[in-house]
Order: sequence, then structure tokens, then C-alpha cells
Amino acid sequence: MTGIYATRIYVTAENRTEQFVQHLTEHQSRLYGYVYSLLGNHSRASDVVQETNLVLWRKIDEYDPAKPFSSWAFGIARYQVLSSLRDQGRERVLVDSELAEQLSGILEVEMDRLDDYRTPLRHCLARLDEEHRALIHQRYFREQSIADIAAALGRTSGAVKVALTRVRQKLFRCVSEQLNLNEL
Amino acid sequence: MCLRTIESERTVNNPFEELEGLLSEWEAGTLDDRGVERFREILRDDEAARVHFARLQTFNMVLMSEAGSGESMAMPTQTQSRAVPETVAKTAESSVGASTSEIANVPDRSARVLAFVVGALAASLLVAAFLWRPGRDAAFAGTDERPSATSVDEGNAPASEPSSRGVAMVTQLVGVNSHADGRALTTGQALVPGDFEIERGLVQIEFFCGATVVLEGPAQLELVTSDLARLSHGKLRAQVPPAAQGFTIEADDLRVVDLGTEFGVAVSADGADVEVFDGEVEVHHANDPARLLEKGDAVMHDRGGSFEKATARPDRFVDIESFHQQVSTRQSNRFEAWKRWSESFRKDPRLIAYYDFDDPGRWNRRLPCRIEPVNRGLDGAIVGAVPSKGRWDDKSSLEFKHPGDRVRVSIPGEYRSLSFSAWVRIDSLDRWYNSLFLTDEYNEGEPHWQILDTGQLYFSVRKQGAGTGTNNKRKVLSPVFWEPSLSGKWLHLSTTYDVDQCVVRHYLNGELLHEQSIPPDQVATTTRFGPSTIGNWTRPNRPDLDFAIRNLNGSIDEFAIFSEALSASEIQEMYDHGKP
Repeated sequence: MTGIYATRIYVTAENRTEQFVQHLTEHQSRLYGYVYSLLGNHSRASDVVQETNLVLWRKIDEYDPAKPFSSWAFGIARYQVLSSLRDQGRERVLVDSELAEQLSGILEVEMDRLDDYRTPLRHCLARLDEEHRALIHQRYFREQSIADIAAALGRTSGAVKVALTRVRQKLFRCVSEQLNLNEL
Repeated sequence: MCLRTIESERTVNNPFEELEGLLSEWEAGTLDDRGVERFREILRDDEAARVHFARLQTFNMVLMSEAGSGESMAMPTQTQSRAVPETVAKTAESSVGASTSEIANVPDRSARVLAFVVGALAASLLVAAFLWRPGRDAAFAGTDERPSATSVDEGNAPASEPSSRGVAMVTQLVGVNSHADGRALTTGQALVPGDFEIERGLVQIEFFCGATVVLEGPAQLELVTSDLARLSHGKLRAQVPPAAQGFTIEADDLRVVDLGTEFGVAVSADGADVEVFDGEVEVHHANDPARLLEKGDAVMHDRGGSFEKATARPDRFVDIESFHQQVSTRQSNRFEAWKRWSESFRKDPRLIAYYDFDDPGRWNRRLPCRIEPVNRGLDGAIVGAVPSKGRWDDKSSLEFKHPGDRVRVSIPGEYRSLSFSAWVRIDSLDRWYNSLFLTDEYNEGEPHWQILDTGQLYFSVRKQGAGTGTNNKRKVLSPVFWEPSLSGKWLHLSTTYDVDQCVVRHYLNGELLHEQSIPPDQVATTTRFGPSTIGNWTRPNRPDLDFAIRNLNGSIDEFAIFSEALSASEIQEMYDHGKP
């Protein structure tokens, strides 16, 4: 009896770790999106997400598989963001601490739905004209600067910026429609 | 590109447009302090604006990760993709055994952002990570090329269709040492309108109208259109099948219009010479009535302007058959030389895998790995792709055409630095990503080697955790090396990944094309492959997503991977021994 019992406990602990890692990895995009939205700076957001991961890992004992992982993770991320905003130094930030508090709840809700956006986005990307899709590709995959894209197209940076903003808006409208966001 | 406005979104006074504009400015780094203040003001006072902001950011996040990663983007293709028969998909699965379906894979791309945990915390987690089973089973293994409903969008034709100015193509060469467009002339090269000159040797040019011309050096030919060329000096022999009737050669002030035939034209200091070996041609001169020449007829038009009848002397002009004889003699010499070199090459202890594709059996679906000592476990499984002509007539290559075409390989082991080498004939770059060699997964230390639709060579090795998003400095893109005029031409591509020097180098035809350092923290010092694909991408199960189509449109004739970064001179040597 003791033997079986011990084995069962062992398996359970292992499953718990597995589950934790699975949740953590699944939540990386959401956490990054949440943190980036509040910090508005990619390299800082990367750092804060890593810190958040570390904290979550250290607190694995507090992790309760029966409860939603995301609210736990977002709670810790929120704390990390706020302390990062406090230590911002002279770096410019888009959102101040007060607004970050105001935004964090709704960001949690929306970022939690992040995976729902993927398929509609693909459909919407497919609906774009070739040229607009190329623009998105150049900007987000090639990571070309707006100035480089403009130079390649023989356009002004301003024109490319406007075009990119419009393509993005168009995509966003399209995704929103598919998700029925406006009716929620 | 046409940067026009999009009417449907110009809704009147959209309350969130200002917010979106401010956010864009912030991301572009051009938002001033007043803008920041305005941004905060909007959000502070308006609950709906906050919701909108959260959605917009969620959308942006997905856009960045989908469009920005490259790894997970199954972008629609320009050309309509063909469905892959189920049998092909099944072959793909069975030919690699159960390996693809048994590899645990993570259900979401974000799940691969695991490095921080793996690297910094506990190795046991890595084990845990690999113990997962995806929510659904791997029912789609090997079918990633299945076109998605979204990949066809008939409503939107490309604004400008890519075009090549080519009018003809070089199909055979003997003893020619010339350049066209600043490049050494090789077979398969498309020729654009303009002067074409050879000092010596013979070149066979096929015009896109269907006429074939053998030009004998020294000669100068101006290509005008796909059915018109001007011979300034030298000799040519033209063979014109019925479909290409009307093909015209201008020689001096003569116009030689073909009526379905084989004829020769020579231009020298003395004048122009037209001889008909078969069929009929019309010779036009100024306002004279057209002269009809029949088989065996010849005219000589001298500089003084007089015509003189003569008899055709076909042996003056190299005929296509004996030309081919010369070509094949020379070819088999080179082919034999390459074979001898390949015998010793395959014993190089640094070779991880080497496929020479020299196995013409149409239905032999096994691609032998040629490394010595022999290791059958490294043999590849051919799916879909069929043998086709290689660099030399007597050598075969494997042609990748359909979205399902691929070679599956499974390469065990762990390595450090790597080199890739391949002889590739690219017919066109149809996909955003045109695969040379891709591991199924894109985990720590796994390389992806491909060509972008822009004609840039692209190499990356996954290093988890470091450099996410815009800090990713691992993507190494060469300058544009391919354009449609190179279509059909055999190219030697090579890329070295040096983990000690933290540098990636791309080579084209033995010459350095691009060199780029990678931040040391983004270099994966341990590299590995596992289940991988040549000429396509076999993605692990991704139930929620559309499928990426990354098949190469072209042929591969030799492919090698080394466990070391080869030196520039070694790559030059491979090119020299392998060039057609």
C-alpha cells in the first residue's frame, strides 16, 4: 500500500510541474503583450517578462492547478510592471503608474483572448492586397525601418507611415469583425 | 506600390482614430511629450477607449508574433496552391516512421519561448517540456502543405505582376568564355534584350517563341524580342519549328523571315550570307520584293548591294546535332571529374549528411546518404519530388514543384558549428519562404535555411529566450542574390554558422555574399536537427493554424551538411569542382 501511495504522489508532483511549465509557456505571448502594452518598450518588456517568469518559477509552490493560471501570472506581471515603472529613471514611458493600474484589468481580459485573434488575423492577412501584405511583411518580419521601406519604394517616410497605419487599422477592423468584438 | 487610402475604414469621426494614431507615433518613436500627455488623457477619462486600447494591443501583439516571427507565418501564396493527394501525405508519414508524430510538440508558438526556464533554472524542466503531448494527436503530420481556405484569394490580384525581361535562354555552351549582364554565361540563363557577344565557342540559345539558334563565335547578336534578333557579325544556324514561324533574323540590311525551317546566316566584312537547309525562308531587302529561298538555296548579299545566288553549304554551320555531341563530350568530362572528386569528398569526417541525388530511378523513393563510412539511417525519404536533369545531362537531380514535394531526413546528434552546401536550380521564388533545409520544429539549436521571395538567402538558428521580438539578431539575411533572370540556372549556395566566432556567412557560387556577426548571447552553441526536410517544411502538428507552404520551386542536385564552419577557400573548392 505504501509503495503505491508513494508512487502516486510522485506522479502527481511531476504532473504539476509539467502543467506549470505548459501554462507558463502558453502564456508567454500574453504576458509579453500585457507587459509591453504598459511599458511601450520592447527591450524593457522582455526583461520584465523574464523577471516575471523567474518569480513565477520561484513561487511554483503557490501555484494551484485548480485555479486559472493567467490571473496568477498576470498578478505577478502587474507587480513587476509597476516596479519597473517606478524605477523608470529618465526613460520615457507611454503610460504612468496610475494609468497602468487602470488599464491592467482590461488588458488581462483581452490578452487572455490573444489566441482567439490568430486565426482571424490570418484570414484577414489573406484578404489584403499583395502590396499591403508586403508592407506588413517588410515591417514586421524583415523589421525594416519605415525609412528603409520608404527608400525601397521611392516614397516618403510619411507616406509609408500613413500606409502602414491604415493597413494595420484595416486589419484590426477585419479581425474585430470576425471576433464580433464590437458586440461584446 | 500604390499607397492609396482604404475607403471602407474612413468612417466619420471614429473616436478611436486619434488613439490609434498616437500609438503608431509612439511605436515609430515620433510621439512628443504633448502627444504622450494627450494619449494618457484619452485613456484616463474613457472606459471604452481603454477597452479599445487593450484590444488594439492584443491585436498588435498577435500581428507581431504572427507576421514578425517568420516561424509561424503561414502566409497566403501568390500562386494558387494545389491540393496534395492524401496518399502523398500518408507516404510522408509512413516513410519517416512514427518519428514526426511521436515528437512531443508544444501547442503554441509562444510555448517555445521556454529558454529562460530551460537555461536559467532547471534541466529537468526541459525533460518535462518534452513529455507533453499536444491536445490533439498528430493527425496532420506530413500534411502541412495542405492549402488553407485562406491561401487562395481570387479577389485580389497582385497590383503588379513580377516580370522578367527575358526573351531567350541559353541552353547549351561549349568553349564559351563570355559574360552576359556582368555574369559568366551559363546554361539556363535568361537573356534580356540587348547585345550578346561571344569571342569563341558555341552557344545554343532558345528564343521564347520556340526558335533555337546555335551561335558560333566570334559573333555578336542583338536580341530584340523573343522572335527577332540582329546578327552584326558571326555565324548562326537557326532551327525553327512550326510554332515559331515568323522568327526573324536581321543581317546587315537583310531581313530573314522564317517560314518553318532550318537555315544559316553569316555576316562578315564581305556581306551577309543566307543559306536554307530545310523548308523555306523569305529574304527581305529594302523595298525589293521578298525573295523566297527554298531548301538548298543560298544568297550572298555583298556590301556593294548586289545579290548573288549560291548553293547552301550546311557543313559551314555547326548543326545542332554535332553541337550536342561536343556539348556532351565536354559535359561528361566535367561530370566524370566531379564524380572522382565526390568519391573523396564523401569521406570528409566533418560531413554530417551528404546527398548527391545521382540516382535516376523514378520510383526509387529512397535518397541514399553518400557519406562514407555508410550510414543507412541517414538516408532520406523522397515524397512527391521526381528526378530531373541535373547539372550535367548524365546526372540527375531532384525536382521540387508541388506544395507537397520534399525529402524527409532524420539526423541525430548534437553539433557545434555547421556548414550547409547545395547545388540548386531555382525556377522561381513563389513563396515568402522557399525552403532549402528546415528542421520540423524550431527549437533551441535547430537551423532553418531558406530563400525569401525577395531573392535573399536566409539562415537562422533558434536560440531560446535571447533576443525576442525586435531584439532578434539571429536572422541572417543576405543581400538579394536571385532575380527571375537567374531562373533555371544552377547555383551553388552555402552558409556557414560559426559558433566560436559568432558569425554567419552566406556564399554564392564560391564567393562570399554576406557576413554577419550575431550577439554571443543569441548564438546557440549546441546545434541539432532531428526530423528535418529538404526542399520544404514539415511542420509538427499545429492544430489551430493554417499550414505553411514553403516548397522550393526548382531542383536540388547536391546537398551537404558539415559539422564545422568551412573556410572560404573550401567553399570555393566545392564550387570549382561542382560547377557545371
